[in-house]
Amino acid sequence: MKKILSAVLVLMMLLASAACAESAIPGVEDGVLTVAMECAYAPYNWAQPDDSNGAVPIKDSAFYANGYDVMTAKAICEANGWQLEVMQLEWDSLIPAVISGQCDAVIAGQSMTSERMETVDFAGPYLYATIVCLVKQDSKFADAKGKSDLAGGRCTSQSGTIWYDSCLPQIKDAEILTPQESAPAMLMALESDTVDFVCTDMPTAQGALIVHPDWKILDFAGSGDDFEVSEEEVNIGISVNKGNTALVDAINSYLKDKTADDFNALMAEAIKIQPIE
Amino acid sequence: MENHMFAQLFTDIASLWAKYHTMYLTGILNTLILAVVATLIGCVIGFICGILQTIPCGPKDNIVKRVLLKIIRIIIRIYVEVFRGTPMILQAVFIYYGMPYFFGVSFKDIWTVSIIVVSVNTGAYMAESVRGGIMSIDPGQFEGARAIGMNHLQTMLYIVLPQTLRNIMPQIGNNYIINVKDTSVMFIIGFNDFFAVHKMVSGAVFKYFPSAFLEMGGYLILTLVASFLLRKMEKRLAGKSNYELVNTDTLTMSAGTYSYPRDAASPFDETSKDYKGEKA
Repeated sequence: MKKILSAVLVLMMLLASAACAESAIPGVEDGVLTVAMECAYAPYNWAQPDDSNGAVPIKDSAFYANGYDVMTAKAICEANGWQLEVMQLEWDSLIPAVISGQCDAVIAGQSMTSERMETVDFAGPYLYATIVCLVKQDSKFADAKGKSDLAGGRCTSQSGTIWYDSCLPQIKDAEILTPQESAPAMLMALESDTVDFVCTDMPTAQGALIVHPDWKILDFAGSGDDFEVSEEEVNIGISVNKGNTALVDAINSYLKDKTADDFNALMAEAIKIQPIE
Repeated sequence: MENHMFAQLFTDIASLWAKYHTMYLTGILNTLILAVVATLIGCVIGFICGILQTIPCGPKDNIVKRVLLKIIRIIIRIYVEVFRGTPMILQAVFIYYGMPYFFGVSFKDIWTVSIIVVSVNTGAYMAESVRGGIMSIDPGQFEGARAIGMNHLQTMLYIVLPQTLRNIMPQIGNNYIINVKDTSVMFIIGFNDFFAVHKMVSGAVFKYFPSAFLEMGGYLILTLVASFLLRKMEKRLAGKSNYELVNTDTLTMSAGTYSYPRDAASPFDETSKDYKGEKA
């Protein structure tokens, strides 16, 4: 009887250690996926003072994070049997953090550009972005039908984004001002009339409209005169440390069954619970 | 029109406070704790540097001691110049991201890193203030301490540094107030201070200007309270004004002792008796 019991126990131990060996993915050895994001970029990720709507506590902080990125992270962790830990960092510090190992992955609405791919590996995409422009309704650019109608305007966008680096330069004779350090700062520039229009993506623009109902979204999709962006620039992906293919595969195993409609439905949910009045 | 905009601003601020006051208050608490702890540690670092830099050394001492002291002075000099000469935001980035990358040191706790960064930065400024403070002490103090057989450490700890402390109290206060505001750069490494809360709140509700206005008010209140407390502390350190050092008795060797000028240099200083209209 004792021999059978110990044999069974050994078998259980072997099975358990086999299961543990499967999660020997660099970064998730402790079973916790540490994800970094700005927590200041609604509706992708924001911070709130309570855990309503399924918000996740932010590491080293008394606050909670929520948004499209947090919801995606929760789903990925559930699919892989990991625990989720969210870290808050500045936009420009996200990639240095994943390279130095302070976090395991970055889910922050980053596009999978080739410059970023030189320093990090990407899993995903987990969203397909659409580039739009925001103007005030009484602006002379309010009736623009294509990017050529925006010629000569003063504009800006967020620093370190494809909106600033590749979309704004496509506007003829545009007066491109210095980039703003965050999405809300960019919207402030438009609100204070420092610029005529800003370039951003649809979810951010929809959130902005709730606060500023007198603004207008200029969506040139399908007009033939849209911004020319490569596919890599509108694919929003998850950064991990270069060479960490095991983590990329684990994340992609969840994302590969998802379609653009799934992503848009989740984004609509995030916009609904965004704490804007 | 302007009234409408101000009204809108104050409504926005009120709604921000109503919804996020826990976040703002937590941010203020974190900023205060970091500023106080880092200023204190920075003072200690400054005093240590001051002691090390003023170790007396002449051409008659042996060569080992002279070389060692020279090296110490160079190290302190490099430390002061590097940490005064680079912005604290970049020092934070370098220490938090660069150290794990280059030296494999990894930081578990955001508080540890933040306190280290701000203390080391404050220490560099304090080292120079302390050096200036020590230089302003009458040499008679050093001679007197030597004469009764104190070594350098005892001279410093019991005679010179207490007087230096009183002289540089305004500068310490200055550094503390600067720290309260400069800790705002710690958001770059994810430390949740008062400014980081502004970024988070404006990122959630896109109310950038009302949030900034609220934050400016918050910082102003913090620094005003700090100023007030520091002046009170200075007054207390100066001691009761109805005691005077006895200078007239030639047998009492009070040469070189200096009574801190409560009555100040000019009759227009707000603490002088002339200004207050009292009798001298």
